[in-house]
Amino acid sequence: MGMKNHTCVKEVRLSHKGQFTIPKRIRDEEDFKEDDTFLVHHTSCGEIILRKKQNVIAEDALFKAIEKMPRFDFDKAWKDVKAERKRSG
Amino acid sequence: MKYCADTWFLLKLFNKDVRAKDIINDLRYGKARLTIPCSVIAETVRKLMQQGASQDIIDVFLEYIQPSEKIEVIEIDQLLAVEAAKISLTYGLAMMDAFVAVTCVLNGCNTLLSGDSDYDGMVKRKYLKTISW
Repeated sequence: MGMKNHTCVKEVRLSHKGQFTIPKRIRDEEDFKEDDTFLVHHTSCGEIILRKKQNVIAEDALFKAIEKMPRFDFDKAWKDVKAERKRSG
Repeated sequence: MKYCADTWFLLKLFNKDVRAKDIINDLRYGKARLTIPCSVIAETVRKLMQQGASQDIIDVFLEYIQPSEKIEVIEIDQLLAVEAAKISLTYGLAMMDAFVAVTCVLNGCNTLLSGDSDYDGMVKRKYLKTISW
């Protein structure tokens, strides 16, 4: 999602159940849908930041991370692990 | 298929091994399940850090292995510890090897993903099955 070229401040009221409505204009601009999940960040300076949680599939994230892993000598790494196991009895 | 991962498998995976990735895809799309002994996580993270893995890579890995419907992380309890001690003596295994083998068997895993020849004696006596490549 691209960066918006404006900021917007809207007043919302908290209900007795602790709920409030995200203004429609923001929902439309950010393409928020029913059942979307959000992360609520509470910062040390008292700001509350709402971020839409991305539905990343865990395996995809893992494979992406693996791609970033520098190549290493598997045989040597495994041999080291075995030697450490034997040393610790 | 219910697999148990040895450090051997996780290092293969992080070295971009195609068969290791296939097993993860089997978890995603198929009915496979994966059990990971807690000790294997410690060994893998340590080794990955030694091999230059960034904190981001470690964090994604730790997030991925959060216990879920498909992945189970097994901690060492008293039953497992005592069984591992017995197995270690019976088969002349290092304790870490024994923890992995016992975690595999006591949690009903069909197969241990490991290329460790130290398990050969257990395989011969049908204590467990291993897959390696």
